[in-house]
Amino acid sequence: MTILNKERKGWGDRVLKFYIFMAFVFLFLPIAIIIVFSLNSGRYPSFPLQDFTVKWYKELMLDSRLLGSVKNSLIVAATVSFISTVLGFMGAYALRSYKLKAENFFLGFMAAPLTVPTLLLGLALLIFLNSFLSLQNSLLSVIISHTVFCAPFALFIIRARLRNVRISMEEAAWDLGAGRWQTVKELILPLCAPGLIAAALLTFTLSFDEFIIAWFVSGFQPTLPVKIWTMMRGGIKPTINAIGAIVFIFSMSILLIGEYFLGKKTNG
Amino acid sequence: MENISVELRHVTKAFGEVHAVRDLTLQVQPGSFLTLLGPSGCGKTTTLRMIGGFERPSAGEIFILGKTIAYESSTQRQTNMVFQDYALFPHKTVGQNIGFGLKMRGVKKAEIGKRVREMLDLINLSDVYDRMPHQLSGGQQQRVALARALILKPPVLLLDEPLGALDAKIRKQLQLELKQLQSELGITFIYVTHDQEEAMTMSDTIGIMNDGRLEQLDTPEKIYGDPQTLFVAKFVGECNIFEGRIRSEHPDIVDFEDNRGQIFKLKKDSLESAPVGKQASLVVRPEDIQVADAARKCVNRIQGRVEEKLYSGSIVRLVVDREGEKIMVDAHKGIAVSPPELIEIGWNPDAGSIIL
Amino acid sequence: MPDQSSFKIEKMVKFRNFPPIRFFVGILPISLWEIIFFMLPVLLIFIVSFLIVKELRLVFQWTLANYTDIFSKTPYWVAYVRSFRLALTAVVLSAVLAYPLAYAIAFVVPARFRRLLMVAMILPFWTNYLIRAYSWQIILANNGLFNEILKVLNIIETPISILYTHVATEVGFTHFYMVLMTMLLYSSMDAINRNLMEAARDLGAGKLRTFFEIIFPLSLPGLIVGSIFVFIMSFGDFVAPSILGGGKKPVFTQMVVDEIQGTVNLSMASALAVIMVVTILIVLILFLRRVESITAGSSTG
Repeated sequence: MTILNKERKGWGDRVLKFYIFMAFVFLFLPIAIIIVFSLNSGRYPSFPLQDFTVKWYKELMLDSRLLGSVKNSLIVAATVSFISTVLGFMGAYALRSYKLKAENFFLGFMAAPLTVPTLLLGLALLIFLNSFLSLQNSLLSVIISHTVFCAPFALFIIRARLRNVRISMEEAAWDLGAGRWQTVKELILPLCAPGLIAAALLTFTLSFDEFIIAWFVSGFQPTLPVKIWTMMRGGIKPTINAIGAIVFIFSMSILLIGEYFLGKKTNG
Repeated sequence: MENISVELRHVTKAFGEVHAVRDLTLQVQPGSFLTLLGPSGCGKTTTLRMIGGFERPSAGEIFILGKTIAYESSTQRQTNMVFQDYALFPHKTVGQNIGFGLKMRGVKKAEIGKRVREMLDLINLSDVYDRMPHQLSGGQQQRVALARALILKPPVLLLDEPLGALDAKIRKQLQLELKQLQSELGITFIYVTHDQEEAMTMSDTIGIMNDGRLEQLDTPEKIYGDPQTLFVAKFVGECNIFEGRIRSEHPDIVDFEDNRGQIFKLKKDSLESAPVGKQASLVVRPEDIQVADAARKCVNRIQGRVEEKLYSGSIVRLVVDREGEKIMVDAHKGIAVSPPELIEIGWNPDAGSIIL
Repeated sequence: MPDQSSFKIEKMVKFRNFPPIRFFVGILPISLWEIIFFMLPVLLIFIVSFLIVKELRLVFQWTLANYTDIFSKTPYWVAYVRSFRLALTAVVLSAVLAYPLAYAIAFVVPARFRRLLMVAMILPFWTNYLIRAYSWQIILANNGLFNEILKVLNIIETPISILYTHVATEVGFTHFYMVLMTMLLYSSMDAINRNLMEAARDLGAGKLRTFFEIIFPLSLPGLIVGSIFVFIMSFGDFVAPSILGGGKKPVFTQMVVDEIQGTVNLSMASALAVIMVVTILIVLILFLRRVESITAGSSTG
């Protein structure tokens, strides 16, 4: 290794390190711009910057329709996250308890909703729910639709977590007289809690951020991304920056919590 | 039936095309220590898991205390198991681990606490009640796993290589403790291991398994001194095997002629019948063979050249070459022979055993 | 031992091969959800694409009109080709930008910083896609950051218009997809046994040789899987083309959305969607075969 390192310390390394730096500038530029202009008093996002202000944030708090869309998004995301985590857990636990011959096929089937473009999913669900089931476009439609791709997502996360719980532990619980349900309650749920929490949080953010499907099926109850879309159609507004900054911090904190639980290992 | 603790009748287990256990029949006496011994993949663990209810037999019946239970789940069985990896619950304290079985049976909290402490005293671990399993050493974890299974006072305790992950010293100590505990409590132990020494020191009965079959079920002395199959002879301890046939039969003695035409005499007591002329193998343990002066008094004698002399503690292992055939001999370390000396070795009729 | 084949395998074996009821209790809810709300609707798109729409309502009357329309009218074809080209460009751009980045993180950055960098990389994406696109609007606008910097550096005098052209679309695509690509490339590069590289060095292979003999072939599966993802996602993306690219030169997804939100011709939208699905499936099948042949060790030509 030492020889290798010495040889590498040429100009090539420096170029590559500089490249990493530039790439990160490129990647972080949009979010930095959003945060900077959310605190800039100018009506138009252009340079040079003007005074520091929090008035855009204040303005947001007074926009009742915007707050309504946030509420809608929270309801949808929370419900989707709950249903997805429950469905995902049940599926993942079932897959563990019996070695299915067609397991790969089943996993492929579960992965399909995650690979299909949301535009197609949105159109399919719009036609199915609206024209076929005659379901009025509403938050319920959004919840159903988001669960379609969030539940498999939860399944994959929880499955990965459940793999860390050794089968012998489950057998030990049965052996000591625990029934199926008691084993789940006493052993499986506590041991895969980090996975459950991570799945719940990640599906929450997935649903909270999803735009196209919600746009198609939410009807007169827009979620936050749909509301942002309408605001953007109406031209440039500094409040959008403020929303962006808030959503960023909100999603990030949820995600960091999720990452923390996902990374947490079982003892022993 | 009441005086048989565990009985297996024609039990077979197949995983798809692979037969893990074939037509296994055995009985275990109450309060005895049975070890299933064999190489990995011989079906010993599968057998144990069927008794414990973790696998269903493909065919056959299993009785515990005279009751058939082959298709009952492990939750309902009166057996408890100590797992190879201990399978302690990592999110529960030692006390909660040991008390788990009682909790599942709806025993009151105070009672659980009392009995867990008794158990901890029994295994000499009184001060770890509130610790987490990962804070314990391997040996301590092992004891906790044992306590967790024993607290339910099962009539039969199953142990799946429970000492496999421990280092040699702790292993030896725990072997003794386990054996003591077993005779104190009078519980039937069914123990699975691939370590023949462990099996020899602890068991009342050993069942040697190979390729899904029970090769021999006997006391350790019989297993070692009177193996019934070549596999058993080779698996347990080391041995010299002479191929040949039975030449003639006398009231107490059998004459065995090896492929080189030399005749060896041996006692008949281990053989039910000695069909004259039948192909057979003569097994002689290295430590039963005498060397030099002592060999001259023996009934069966062989000439050979010492090829190697290997020291191991209080004995030396001599490899003696008999015109291409290697014979292993264990002698006292003070023996005054060295390669490439020509010596005589020998043994008496009570030493060898014949396998048909 | 003589074979004592006295044992018989009874019907128990068959019984064991049938999953227990609790397995179905666990697996059915999610399966049913996906069958009802995923498979059925997707199948429905296919059926609806052969129906006609009268007065904003679907009518059960079979027709091939939607497809003949698409195949005969140039705007659809132009949009399709444009989408295809944009998606391919996104694949090339993100691969070209991501490859050195993944290589640098895997082989230049010290081990303890690698995971940190990989995690940091995805942070900017935890704000809404719409808002990210909006931010690029601000940056790429005629009086935006990008043009300002070029002016300050005296490279240009009059701003270049990037926003509302598909150059801006590509910027939006590349921003996200190069991260996706980097992650896939990094994970296949990180899996390369570093002793292998050292061995190559010992045998006298230069830096370039080592790269072409070892690193590149072993990173190829990651590159191909990444390309598939980037292609599918950019081909199916609507947000970046419409917010950054504008509406003057619509892409295929914009045509679909027009049919849904504008003319409310769901059968036409479905026909367009079916063409999208078919395109994606063809790409998937073509490329996945390639991945298989590479991972199987027999890379052909």
